[in-house]
Amino acid sequence: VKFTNGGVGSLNHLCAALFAQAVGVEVDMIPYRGGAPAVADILAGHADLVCGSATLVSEQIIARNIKGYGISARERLASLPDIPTLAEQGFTSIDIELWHALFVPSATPRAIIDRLNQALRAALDDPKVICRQRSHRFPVRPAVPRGCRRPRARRNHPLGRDYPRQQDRSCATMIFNAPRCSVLRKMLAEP
Amino acid sequence: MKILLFATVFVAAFGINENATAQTFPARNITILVPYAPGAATDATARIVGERMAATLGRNVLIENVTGGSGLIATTRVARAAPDGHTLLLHQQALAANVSLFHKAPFDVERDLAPVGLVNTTPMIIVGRRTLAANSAGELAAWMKQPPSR
Repeated sequence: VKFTNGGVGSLNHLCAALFAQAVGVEVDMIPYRGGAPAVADILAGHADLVCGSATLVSEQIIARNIKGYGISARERLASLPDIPTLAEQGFTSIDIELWHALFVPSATPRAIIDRLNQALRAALDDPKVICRQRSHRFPVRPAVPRGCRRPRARRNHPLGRDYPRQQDRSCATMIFNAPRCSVLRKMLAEP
Repeated sequence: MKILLFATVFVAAFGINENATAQTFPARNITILVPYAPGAATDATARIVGERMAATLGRNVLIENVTGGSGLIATTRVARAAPDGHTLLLHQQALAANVSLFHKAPFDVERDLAPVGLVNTTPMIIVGRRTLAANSAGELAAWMKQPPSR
């Protein structure tokens, strides 16, 4: 079984590894330079499977150029209501999403970070931006402070025992420190 | 006493200076570095959000695609940029994965970067070539366990 991905350590890779682990088989992981060429070789039939971002694969699923087998998160996508989640189909260990976040050098004055955060939230609340993000298959969950949450921890990850713990720690720390995220901070402070 | 007084004046001056920097921000165009090529999800996110942020900030927001090195090149540039809010990094999950994968990265994500905010999330979908016979994740798993010879 040839499983392509967008590079070692990419979320395509992580997702493929989790699925192969859940199935209980070894697969050939084929890294590409980015998700787009990894999907292109599935379209061309040169490889079997890829766990691609909804942004990259949705149109091709709708056009029936590739077959969609399951969504990696807990909820179906409104734009692809016929594609069930992997958890629904019994693969309950898979619950991951791609996140995007904005960063600045850490020595940036707090007042400037707050200004940028304010501009970011104004953008995320703008109906035009919400619409454009939907057209790119991004579930619109304005991040700060309402949708700010950390990626979940993974244990016994095939990329190494330390991988999920480290990853989770740094994600949590980065998002934990997001401005105006006191609610989240309280949640994460709980053991 | 003199030293203490000097220290107080210095702190006060520095405080005013930092305040003034924040009040005149942004002083010029803002650049968002994207560690991936144009057209990919990260690039799309930066362009959609950057354009609207520009309207609020009253300055242009430029998107610069700095690819290569699993995103390390773009991340290094922002980690070392002047901490004045004019150079931003839009990154994704790989930033966290890289902490485990590249132990000798020229920056420390948690020490050198501060978050402005989470922008969006998107799920992944397992897809296969159209000639695969399986029609569900369960059938796919069965096929993966015993792939027919081709």
